[in-house]
Amino acid sequence: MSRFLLPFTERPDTQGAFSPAGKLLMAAGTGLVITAQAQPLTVAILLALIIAGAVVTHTRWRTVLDLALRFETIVVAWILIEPFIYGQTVIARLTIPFGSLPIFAEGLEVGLLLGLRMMTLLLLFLIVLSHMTLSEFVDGLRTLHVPFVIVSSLMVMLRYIPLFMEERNRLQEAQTLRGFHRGTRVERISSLGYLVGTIIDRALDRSVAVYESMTLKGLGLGGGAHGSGLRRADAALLLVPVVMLVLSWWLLPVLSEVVSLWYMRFL
Amino acid sequence: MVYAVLVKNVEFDYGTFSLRDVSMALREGEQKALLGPNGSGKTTLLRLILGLLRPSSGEISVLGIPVIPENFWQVRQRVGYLFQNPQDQLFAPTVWEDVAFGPRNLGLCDDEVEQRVQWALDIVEMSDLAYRPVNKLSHGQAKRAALAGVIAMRPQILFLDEPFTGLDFRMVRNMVDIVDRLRSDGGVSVLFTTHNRFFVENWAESVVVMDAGRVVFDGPVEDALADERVRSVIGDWESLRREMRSPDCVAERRRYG
Repeated sequence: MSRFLLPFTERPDTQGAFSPAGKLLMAAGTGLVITAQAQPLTVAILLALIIAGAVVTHTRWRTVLDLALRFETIVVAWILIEPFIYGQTVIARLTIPFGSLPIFAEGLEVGLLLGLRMMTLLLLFLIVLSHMTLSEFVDGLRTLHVPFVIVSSLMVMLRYIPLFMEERNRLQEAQTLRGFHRGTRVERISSLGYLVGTIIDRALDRSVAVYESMTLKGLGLGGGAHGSGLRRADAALLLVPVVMLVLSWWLLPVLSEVVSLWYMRFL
Repeated sequence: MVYAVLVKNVEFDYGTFSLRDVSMALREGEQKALLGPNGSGKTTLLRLILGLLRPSSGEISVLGIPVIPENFWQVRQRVGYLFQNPQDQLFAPTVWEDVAFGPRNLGLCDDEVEQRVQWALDIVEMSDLAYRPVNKLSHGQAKRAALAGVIAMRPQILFLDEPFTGLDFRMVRNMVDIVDRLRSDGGVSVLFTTHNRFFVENWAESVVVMDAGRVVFDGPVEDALADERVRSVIGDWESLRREMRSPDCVAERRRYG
C-alpha cells in the first residue's frame, strides 16, 4: 500500500456512518484550525486530541506512522534550521570551524511551531485517508465538486511516483547488466543524466496508459458510487473543527497560565 | 442490422503513422480476430473505437451509438478493454479495489459492487488474491485481475489487446475458458488482436487483417488463410521452420556451440 504513498484502506467501510466527503471536510476544517494556531503548545494539544480521536476510531497506526516518518526529515530539518536564520534574541552560539553561529530564541519558537504544525497536519490527513479506500477518496473529492482536472491529476500523480521508481530500478538493472558499474566516474554521471530523461519519458507514457484505464472505467464520466454524497451523520463530524477551534481559544489561556505557574514554582 | 462495432472509412494521423480508409464490422455475439504485424494499427483502431483517440474523418459506432465525446461514457459502459500490458491497467492499491473501481463509477450501491467484484474474481479464479497489492502479482495474475476489472462492468463487447502475450499454456487455456464462458453466458461480442495464426485458426469466427494502417482483409477465417495478402502478413512460418531445421543450419549452430 505504501507504494502509493498514501495509507488507503483495502475495503470500503460499508457500515460506516460518515461519508468520505464528510471526513475530508472535517480534515480540511481541522487543518485550517491547526494552521491558524500561533503557539506551539496549542498545536501540541490539538495533536494530542487528534491522536486520541484516532485511537478511538481504531486507526491503523503502523501504516500511518510508516508514511508519516518518511516526512520526518523535512519536519526535523525545518525545526533545526529555523533557529539559525530567524530572530534577534541570541540564546546560544554554536562554534564551527569558520566562526560561531548564533541561535535565536524567536527562530527556535517559530521552527518548533512550524514543525509541529506540519507534523500535526500530516498525521491528521494520513489518519483520515487511512479510513477510506482510493475509490471513496475520489468519490469524496467529486462530492465536494473538486474539478475533474485536479482529481484526475492527483490520481495519475499517485500512480506516477511508484511507476517512476519502478522504471528507475528497471533501467538501473539494465545498465548494470551491460557493465555500467565498470565505467569511469564521468561515464557514470553522463549516463545518469541520460537515465533521468528516459525514466521521466517512460513513466509519463505509462501514466498516460493508467489514466486511460481510469477513464475507461468511468473516472470523470460516471456518476460516482451510490450513496457517496454527504450524509446527515456528517454534521457531527463537521463539529470536530468547531470544537477544536473553541478548545484552542479556551485552552490556550488556561494552559498557558498553568504552565507558567508551574514553571515559576519550579524555578 | 445493429452491429456491435461498425467502423466506416476512418482516417487517422499520428505523426509518422496513419490509418487510411479503415472499415470493419463486428456483429453482435461474434468473436473476431484483428490480425497484423507490429505497428500495423491494431491497437490504434481499438483506441479509436473507444474514443481514446479521435479520427480525422470517418464514422465509428458501437451498438448503434456514434462514438462522439457526448457518448463516451455510454460507449465505455458497453465495451470492456483489456490492455496489452496489464500493469498499465491496474492502478488501485489492491486487486479488490481495482475491480471495484468500475462498478462504483456505474453508481451501484455498495452491496451490488461487492457482488460484482466477487462474481468477477470468481470467474477469473482470483478470489484468494483479492487483497493482494497489484504490484505483487505475476504477469498472468495481473492479466486476470485486469480482466476481472473489465468484466465487473458487465460489458456487451470485449476488446482484448494481445490477450495471450507472455502467458504460459495453462494461463492461455484459463483465459480462453474465461472468455468462452462470458460468451456462452452473456452473449458477449469479442474483438481480439493477435500476431498468432493459431488463435485465428482455432478461436476466431472471422478475421480482420491489417497491414501498414490499412485493412487488407475482412471475412471468414477459412477465406483469410487462402488469401495471398493475408499469408504475407502472417508470415511464412513453415519456411522459417524448415530453414531452422535444415542440416546446414543445425551444423552451423553446433559449430558455435
